[in-house]
Amino acid sequence: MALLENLLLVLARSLVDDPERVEVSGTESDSRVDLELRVAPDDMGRVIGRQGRTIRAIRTVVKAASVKLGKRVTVEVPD
Amino acid sequence: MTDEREFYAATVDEAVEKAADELDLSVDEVPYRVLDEGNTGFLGIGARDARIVVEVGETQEAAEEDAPLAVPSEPAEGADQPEIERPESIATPERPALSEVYGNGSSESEQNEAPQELLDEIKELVDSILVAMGFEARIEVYDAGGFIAADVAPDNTALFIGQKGETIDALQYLVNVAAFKERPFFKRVVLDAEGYRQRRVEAIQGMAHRTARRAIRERRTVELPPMNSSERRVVHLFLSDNPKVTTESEGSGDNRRVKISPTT
Repeated sequence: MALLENLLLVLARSLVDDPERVEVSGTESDSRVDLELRVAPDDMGRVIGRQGRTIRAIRTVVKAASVKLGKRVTVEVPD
Repeated sequence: MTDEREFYAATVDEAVEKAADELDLSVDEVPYRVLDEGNTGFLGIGARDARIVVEVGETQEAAEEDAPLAVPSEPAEGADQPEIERPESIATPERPALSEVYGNGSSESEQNEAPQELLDEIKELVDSILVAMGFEARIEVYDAGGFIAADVAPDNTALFIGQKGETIDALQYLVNVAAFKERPFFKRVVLDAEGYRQRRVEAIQGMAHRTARRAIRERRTVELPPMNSSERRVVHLFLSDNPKVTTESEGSGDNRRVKISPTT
């Protein structure tokens, strides 16, 4: 899970104005990893993107990295 | 500087004849490369045209095809001496198609070289993401004229590209957003691995070509599967010089696709 958390951190930090305020937390079970991404309120638009395009791309990339772990991964951005 | 044209017919030989006819050459003078050998199918089922690409001298077609999208070419030389190259000299991989798809069509921006600082930054960005994904990869970033090329040689190319290119496309999108976060947009960054983009362009052109034939044969509009904007652009560009069909995009979001209709 550390790999996926770190990847999400790297991706989100590259996209936002305020990288210091990017936080990632997660829970892991045998079959899945659930990640949560928190950013500064002003950066919400940056990580979601128009019509959710950016968060969709983030999920695709994180999912690709999770293949090696053989687990299902979800990425949520709580508001 | 040479240009390229595609010809197609039931067999490679017939396609070469067609090319020779149109370019005023004898059959053994046509400098061509086979894109698709075609398939006669079984009882006509699954039949596919043969397609060849022919290098034509500057004087032949370039003048009329010198649309703003074309790769900038040198002024034509003596019109009575077309610069036709022999077949053995055209084995080099072709980049112009990619420039047409990814460039913004302005030759002004193609002449504006990306500053080294931007290229370095993009390389670092791609590198940090790939390392975080668990890849080992060599990355080369350079200004390719109409776009900034980021060529990646990863340890696992299939995983890097993903099903139907979904991973490489998602990465490319994120890299573009991140690279131009703090500066005005300059040129699109195009991520590539092992010539994937070029192969994809050729596969889509093949599909566009076959679908156009079907639309003409069946005298009706035929739809292609949903594609992203650069892939749709490949179809529009490729069929733009086919007077027998017109193309139009329809639908929204992930469902947007090209419709090919016979010209009425």
